[in-house]
Amino acid sequence: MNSLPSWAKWLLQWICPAEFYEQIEGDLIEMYNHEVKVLGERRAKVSFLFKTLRFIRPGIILRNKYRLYSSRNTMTLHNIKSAFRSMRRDKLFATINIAGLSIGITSSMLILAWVQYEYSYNHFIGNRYRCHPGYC
Amino acid sequence: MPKFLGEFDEMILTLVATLQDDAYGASINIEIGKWLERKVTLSQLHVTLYKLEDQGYVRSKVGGATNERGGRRKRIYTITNSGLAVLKSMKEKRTEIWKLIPQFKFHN
Repeated sequence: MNSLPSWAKWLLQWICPAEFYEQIEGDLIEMYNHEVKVLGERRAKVSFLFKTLRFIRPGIILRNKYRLYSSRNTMTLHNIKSAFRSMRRDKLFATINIAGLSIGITSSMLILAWVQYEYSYNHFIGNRYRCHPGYC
Repeated sequence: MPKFLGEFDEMILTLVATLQDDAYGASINIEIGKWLERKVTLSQLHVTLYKLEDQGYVRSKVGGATNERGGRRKRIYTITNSGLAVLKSMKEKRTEIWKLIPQFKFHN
């Protein structure tokens, strides 16, 4: 145990989240003791250092800083939920808002349909863009 | 809708369920080497275990220290009911599809 370098311990203490540090170090030491029997002391030591360095990874370092594993839909679900809550709170306001928006969208779609219909005349004429209707 | 795990997550969850009271980082790593003849880095294993705990498929408690690990305590993982349900549903779906493979009809 004393032969293991102290900078590895220092590095682990610096990187790992506090609640996991002791268990991680214990696991590393146990793997080292297991590998001493299988591989011999020199190679086990190299393997120990390699394993320690591999703990420098986002899942360990950023664990307490950011939520890495939050659901992808969290923000959208939150927005939908707060929208429904505010609608329930201000019923009149929500009604006016939704009614206005739907009337606006409906009328713009109707206008679009009308314009499309107006443009669909006289397609059989060869150069129809140079033709104009004359009224008396 | 049933949820599905990745291959590595599923393997580790199965090993946690198999090892019962003896499932912690180093023992799982050694078992992977023994059963599957596969090398897995310890940090990858730890990160996966933390992720599985965040998802609620395993539960962990700090357990006893042995002399072999320099007096450091273990973090022992146990599988939860939802973890078992996920494992079971994945296995069933797989065998369901596996049965659809026409037998004795392998072309080379």
